[in-house]
Amino acid sequence: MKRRLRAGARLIVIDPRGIDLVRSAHIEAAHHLQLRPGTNVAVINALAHVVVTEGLYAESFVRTRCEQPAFDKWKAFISDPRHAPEVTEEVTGVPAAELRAAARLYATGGNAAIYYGLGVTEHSQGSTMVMGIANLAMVTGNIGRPGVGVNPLRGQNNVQGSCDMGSFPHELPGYRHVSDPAVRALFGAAWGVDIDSEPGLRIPNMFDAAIGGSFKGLYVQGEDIAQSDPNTQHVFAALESLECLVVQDLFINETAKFAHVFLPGSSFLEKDGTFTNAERRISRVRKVTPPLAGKADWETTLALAEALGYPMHYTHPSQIMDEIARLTPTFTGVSYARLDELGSIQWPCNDKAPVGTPVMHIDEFVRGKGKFVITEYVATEERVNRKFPLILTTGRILSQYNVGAQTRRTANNTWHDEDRLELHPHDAEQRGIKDGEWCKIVSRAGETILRATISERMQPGVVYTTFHFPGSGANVITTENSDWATNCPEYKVTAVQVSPTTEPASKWQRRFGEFSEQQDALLPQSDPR
Amino acid sequence: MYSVKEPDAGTPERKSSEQVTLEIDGHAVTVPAGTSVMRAAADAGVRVPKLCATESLEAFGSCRLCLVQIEGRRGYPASCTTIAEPGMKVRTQSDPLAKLRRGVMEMYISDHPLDCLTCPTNGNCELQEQAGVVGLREVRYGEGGANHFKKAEKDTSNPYFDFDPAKCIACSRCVRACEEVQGTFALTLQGRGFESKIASGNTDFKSSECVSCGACVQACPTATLVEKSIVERGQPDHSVVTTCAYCGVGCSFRAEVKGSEVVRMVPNKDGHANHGHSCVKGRFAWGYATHKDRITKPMIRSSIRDPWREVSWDEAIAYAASEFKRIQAEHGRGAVGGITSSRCTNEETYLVQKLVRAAFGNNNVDTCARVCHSPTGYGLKTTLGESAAPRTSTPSSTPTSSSSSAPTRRTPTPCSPRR
Repeated sequence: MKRRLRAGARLIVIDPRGIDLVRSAHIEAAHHLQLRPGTNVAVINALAHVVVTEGLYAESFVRTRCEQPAFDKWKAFISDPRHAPEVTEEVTGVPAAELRAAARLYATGGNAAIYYGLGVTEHSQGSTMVMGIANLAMVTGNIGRPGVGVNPLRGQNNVQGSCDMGSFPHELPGYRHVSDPAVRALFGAAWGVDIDSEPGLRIPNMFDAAIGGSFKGLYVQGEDIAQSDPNTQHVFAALESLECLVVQDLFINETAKFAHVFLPGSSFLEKDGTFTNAERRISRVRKVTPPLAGKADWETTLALAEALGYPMHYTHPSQIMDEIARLTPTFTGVSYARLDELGSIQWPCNDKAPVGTPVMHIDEFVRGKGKFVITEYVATEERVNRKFPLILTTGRILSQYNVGAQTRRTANNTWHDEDRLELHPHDAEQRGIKDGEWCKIVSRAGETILRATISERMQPGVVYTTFHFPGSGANVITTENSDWATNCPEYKVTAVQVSPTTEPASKWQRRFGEFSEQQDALLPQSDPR
Repeated sequence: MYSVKEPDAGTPERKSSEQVTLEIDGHAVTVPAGTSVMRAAADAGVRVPKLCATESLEAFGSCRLCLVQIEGRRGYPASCTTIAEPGMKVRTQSDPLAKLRRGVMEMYISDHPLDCLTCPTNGNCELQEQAGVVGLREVRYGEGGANHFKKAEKDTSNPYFDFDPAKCIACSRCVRACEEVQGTFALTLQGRGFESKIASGNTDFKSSECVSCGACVQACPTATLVEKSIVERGQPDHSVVTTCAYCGVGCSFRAEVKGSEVVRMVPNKDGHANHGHSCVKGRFAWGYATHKDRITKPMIRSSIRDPWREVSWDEAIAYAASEFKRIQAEHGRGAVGGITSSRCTNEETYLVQKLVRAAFGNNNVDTCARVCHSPTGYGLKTTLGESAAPRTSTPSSTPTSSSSSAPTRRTPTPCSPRR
């Protein structure tokens, strides 16, 4: 991206913070729309409003590629003056002139691509915002050819793959709904079982059901829900209610502290398999060293399935991929031999696309005609008030990776050895908070204490922290609000108050510290920790 | 330094509909218009000596080792900066060229310590190799590293690589890699002549603007910038191509191994997602895989207040299975479930959801994507029909809109250039 910018591409950054891309060596964004967290949909609607009302939209693209009735309805909706940037300015904090200029650039500057991360999805209107982005790309014709499109940046190596593989409670591999009898019949026949037609529990439902007493056993592979999920105290209570928690991981992560069975995992260097990146690109993971604990992760799952009375017969991960290819139309042409030959493959890969598909939606959308969806802005219920006047938004930093289980165990701590609260000098001064000193952050869900970093990257009224260290308790303060369609947590908007303190730890942090020490002491002595 | 024995054609590949045919040391070769003479020679199987040129960076023309003779042209043009033209007749070896190259190499070595046997890049050093290629036999200007940087302090502040200015030949590959590959512009070449010095601003590497992507270390033809792991463990004996386990860019890496121990991770130049680029996590932060906190024996306990008991794999698996069966018998089929991970492979994830659906007999399976990109799946499926990114992240776009994400922070190498 930086290389393209140095070659003359122009950049619009939409972010509440002054991130590096706004201005760094030889790069300066043409427009930085510094919105208030939680107002994404109002901004995307305003952008679309400008495009439509100023007649900048790609009429022929819309006519040939999109559903006309849905577009007409959407056009009437988006043209309404309530979406004009002059009106939304008050809510979003984005100056109308700046937004209009950005909309014109996006619509008329040639090929334009949208890249986005979790600042789009982790909101009560996360799904609405994604559809708003798709609307904007369609209305400007910026989709379905090289150099344009809607590009979600995935934070983890195999987010795309884990979704493709049927990890959701309502979908079998290849995004096929469990309520579809034909799909169930296909997998049922291949697996020799009857597949339940009812969607299962989502993670937050599992937690609620555990506390309610109807959900008792959980098998967690390579995921640290205790640290990464919102409202930590609720998550801890749920995990404590389980009768059998099986954790398969490299380390005693936060979740494993609540486990009854620990199955040692293998690192990516110790196994064969594939990852699918954000471009749908399937690449091989090749075994570099033997598994430290004697089993690769796939072998462990195999053993557990067999002990449960359901033996699976694979002797190498390539055979698992062969089964995926047999049962999933978008993977028909994928095999380890083909991956070795081509280097990597972007799905769909099948008879129609034998070497994969670098660009989708070229002549028509996967669903046929593109569908414009009405995206009404609805403010989150998480509001600031006198008691909680600031908005907290959480995020990640280059040197650390998510919950930090891996990177905290490397020298990357050199650059980031604690999570800090970043706030604007104005907010700091008002509260008597000094750079590097402790401050208490209180939300409706809980409280925690972090050191302060005073920074003009923040806008007044907005504070920020990362969540790489479990003791920081960043998710003790985040709430259970979530996306209306998918329950994706609203990590990006929490109303908080911040005040100076001399205490280095909150009540929760002290309890957490004690619990972690107890759990360390329960580990076998032979294991030098 | 690049991975052991990876071929390097010297200058970047060019694509063109127009082809150019020329002759190099009597071999006819056809290349796309815009290709350098050096790269054309490599295509013809002729290796021209070089130090400042590498195929991941634009030609620079500073080392004067790749000089050639071209029929009908005066002097000795540098093959890296000279573009191939139709009908060109190029000579890469002749007495005058050998003399020139040897003279240039002599000057380099007069300013370079001769401690090859104890040097970390011994066995994988371009300077060493090129000295051999040009047949250096004496250094008339003084030897033994009697240069002005002899007493210069090594900068060991970065946790993953060392900077030893005494070994520097001022080829600028690190500076150019920082600019062209990473785009951080943290390095610069200060001073002239013997005073030339690579600097990370006015501070050491750790405190500088450097983001530790490792592009400079990879580009360095000597031991000036070298991984600490190589200093400690020596050169690898083989490599395995695999995929990084960190972010969603999915960079291809060569894991360089000695026996069964990884000594270095080097981004794969042929990697379709990263084209030889990397970030600090994938390039350097792999030590967790052998960290002492790794639990390598299965363990069980009946309550979370009890001490863990190390058991055999069979016992742990049998215990887990019996507990799941007991719970299902007592509380119903839906009382158990599983969570898959976005850090595990497709095959592992597929097996976990299959286990839940076939062995548990319910659909209680979810993934951590629930808490990050589930709205992407829903939103894109509703509007476009597929829950995935529509295109390759190799932008040829003019304006780019980056919405509410800090891509340089989390997924630092997206959008490598289309080749």
